[in-house]
Amino acid sequence: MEEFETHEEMVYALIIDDLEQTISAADKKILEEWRSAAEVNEKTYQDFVEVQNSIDKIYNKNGFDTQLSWESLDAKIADTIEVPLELKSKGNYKLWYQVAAAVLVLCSAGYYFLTDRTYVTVSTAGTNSVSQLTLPDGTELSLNSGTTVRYDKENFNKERKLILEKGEVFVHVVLHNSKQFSVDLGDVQAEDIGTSFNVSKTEKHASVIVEEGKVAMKQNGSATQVLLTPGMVGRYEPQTKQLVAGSNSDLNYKAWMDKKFTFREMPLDEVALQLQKVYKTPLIIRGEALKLRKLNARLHYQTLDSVLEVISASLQCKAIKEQNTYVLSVN
Amino acid sequence: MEQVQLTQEDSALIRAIIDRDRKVFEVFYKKYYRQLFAVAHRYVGQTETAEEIVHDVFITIWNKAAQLNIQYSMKSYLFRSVVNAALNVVKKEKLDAEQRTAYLSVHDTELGDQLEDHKEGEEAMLKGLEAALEMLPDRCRQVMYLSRFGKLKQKEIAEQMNISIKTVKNHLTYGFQKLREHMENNKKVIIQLLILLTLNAR
Repeated sequence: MEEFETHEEMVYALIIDDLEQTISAADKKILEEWRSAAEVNEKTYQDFVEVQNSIDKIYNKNGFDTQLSWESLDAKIADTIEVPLELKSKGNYKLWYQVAAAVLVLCSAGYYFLTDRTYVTVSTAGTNSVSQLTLPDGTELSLNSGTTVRYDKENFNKERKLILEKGEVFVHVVLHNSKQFSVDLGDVQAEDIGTSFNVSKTEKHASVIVEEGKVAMKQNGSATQVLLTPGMVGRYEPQTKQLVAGSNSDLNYKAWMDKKFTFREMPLDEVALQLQKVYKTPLIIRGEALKLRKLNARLHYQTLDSVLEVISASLQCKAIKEQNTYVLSVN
Repeated sequence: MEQVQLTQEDSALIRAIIDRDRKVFEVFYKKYYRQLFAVAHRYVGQTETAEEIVHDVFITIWNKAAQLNIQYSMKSYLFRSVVNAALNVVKKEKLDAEQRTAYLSVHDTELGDQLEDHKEGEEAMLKGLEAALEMLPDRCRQVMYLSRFGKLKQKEIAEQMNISIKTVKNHLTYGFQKLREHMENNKKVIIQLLILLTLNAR
């Protein structure tokens, strides 16, 4: 058996063939002779078996459900089948795409913490991804880019107040025995009654969209308040000091966080505006006719590449990447 | 592009997909899903992303069956597409991760505390083995993934990666040996720990 000691690699290859059950009868015989020739050989063989078994355990570790996975793919295929008709072109949005693209490019990545006594300020500046933050009471926040929030770290559980200085936050409030959770929006407060909701604030308005449960939006120093239930939006304009509630027509209000989009008969140029805001990547459409074509789809993808793959297949157009900009054009 | 004559099975499959035969497509999907998912998951480490990668490849096939550039077989096309897509994701995520790590290391120590230390027994052994797999050289790792997670035969891997069967064998033996060494060392550490614990108990 000495010849094998100089052909270690060859024996290992035979063991692997054996484990794969692709070994020939002649090789199998050689391998078996080698295994029985010395105890250490058999141990080596068993080591290989152990490696193989352990890798198989890793293979089996992650939950697979082929049926569920197929159903999810089946739904995606169904979504891409509808091919809407072309419409006549109207209007010119080109300039706005360029402006939007320039603004997006200017946003640079950054993220910082500032501590002001016990106040914690969290800012997200132009980061590509959504940031998660858990407050001391367990409430979970998803922060959009360009957002600044502040809270009193030490006394948080007494006050349960989050100050949204600017930007957008999706709040998932946990049940808590102490005070009601609230978001301070400057002139107005959003008080939660056990829920998830989306809050955004810019210089011109503050708005709250409820996903689950109820939220009361109250104007400071006045009795004005609106009670919001799922599917509703509350909107406040600091200039006019008006607080109004209505039904929310924006299906994709939290796509910035979960990347789930639903488009119903939506012109491609509007689709593009929504997508570039969420994926933080400029997206240009070439061809006026293409801009006005309507898309019906439910899309849920982590990357813009995947989204454009589906859109280009369903609208029979072409998606390419030119430097940092995606371009959709007619084939 | 040079194209090898497709097998009857693959040609029939492509015809069925062009004819929008969902049942055939479903069977085809279910046949390969698990292995493809396992390979993608190995690279990206996230269930959702891995699933998405596999789905994207099948959506492309469903939508563009007639125009696919299949060099050897549908199976090989599937694995090639999944590996490429996974590598792209990893490349992109590496950049994101670098940014994240930079931020975490400077600003946040709390997150570190939240990472619980639950390394015990087999779970720890498998974790270690996964790490050892990741540390293999790129090509060797890809061969190991395709072989152990993709369940591809050596000949199929050779075609896939455009290398000889001999090279595939070399990568496999190298990979197996490295993992074996890793497991061996792992056992030694555990035995030492046990001895230590026994001594302390006295």
